[in-house]
Amino acid sequence: MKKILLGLFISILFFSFSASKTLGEEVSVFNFEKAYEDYLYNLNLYRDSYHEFATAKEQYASYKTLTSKTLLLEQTINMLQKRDEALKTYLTALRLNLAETTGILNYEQNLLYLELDNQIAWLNNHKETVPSVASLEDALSNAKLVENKYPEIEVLAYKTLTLSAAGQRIEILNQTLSQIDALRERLKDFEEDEKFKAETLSRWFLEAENKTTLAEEKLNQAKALTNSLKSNSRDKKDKFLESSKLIKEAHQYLKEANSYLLEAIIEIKKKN
Amino acid sequence: METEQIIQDLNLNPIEKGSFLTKLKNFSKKEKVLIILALIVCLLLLTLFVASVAINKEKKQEQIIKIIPTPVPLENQEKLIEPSLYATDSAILKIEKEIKDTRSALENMEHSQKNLDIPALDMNLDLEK
Repeated sequence: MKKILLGLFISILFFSFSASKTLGEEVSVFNFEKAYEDYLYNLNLYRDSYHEFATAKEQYASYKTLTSKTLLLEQTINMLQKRDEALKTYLTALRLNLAETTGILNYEQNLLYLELDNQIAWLNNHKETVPSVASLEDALSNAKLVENKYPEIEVLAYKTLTLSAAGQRIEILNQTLSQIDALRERLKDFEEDEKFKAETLSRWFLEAENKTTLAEEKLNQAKALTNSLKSNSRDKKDKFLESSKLIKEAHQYLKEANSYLLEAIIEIKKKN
Repeated sequence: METEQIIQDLNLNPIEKGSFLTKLKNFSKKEKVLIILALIVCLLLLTLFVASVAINKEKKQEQIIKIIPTPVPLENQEKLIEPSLYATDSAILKIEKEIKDTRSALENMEHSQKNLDIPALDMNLDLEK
């Protein structure tokens, strides 16, 4: 009896271990790449369903029969569900993109996670209510709920995109600053050498530092601009484009800082 | 008689052979010298023209060669520079690698950007239309 119990215990342990391992692997596989593919797939499904909905709408407008009305209702329900799914997978892709970006402050990231999770949950709930739609009037009022929610989703997407893009550059900025520090530290040992070009090199480092400062300013401006966005403001898209431009400028400054450091390395490696 | 007259009229101006040479013999010495000089000048101009065309061709070929510079990789350029005492310093080489990695990361950021713009979804159903 004891042997049977021991065998059972060991087999349960083995199965639970292998199951947890498999589940763990599945969870770890769902990264940004997978989420992005998922989003594109669902977006295509939405486009197909919208096309079918548009055809059904035209047929109903022409014939006004009960059959065409029923078909339109079916296609509307299908399209509304696909639209919710497309938006949901889009926000999931944004969330995972944010999660894989370093250089973002924890509180900023957590704040957006919370907002993204809320919107994803809302869309999920809404998708579940769609099949209960019984008439075209119901479908219209159901669709209106997403229409009213959309500006909030738009602002959230702009904020997440800006923070992800800025975070990537902040990571590069931090790397550049630590490279400058490391070079300065190493060159302290070389200062005794009279021939060594300490002045020229310190000028290169200063220039690189100035560029990183300018880049940081642009990134902060971009973040502030998108953080000021409100769901009811009309110039959401324009402000987002402006902040994207600021991020591009910051990127250029970082490239310049990096070039100065490469020049400094060539100078260090070159004989007088 | 009339037909003979017509034939005579048709043969009024027969071609005079060697008329140029006979005319040349009639020229004075001065005129002959002038003609020879003119011929020499013409020959000189022709030679100059041919020479200038040949030079221009060579120049064009040189220009084409200048337009296509021989590519020299940066690594080779660095090798050409006489190295300092610190060129093989391990800490410097490590930092150099980090800086180059940062450059690659910056370039990758530009090229591998996925389109995450908000999808264009039709929000207004407009079932009334």
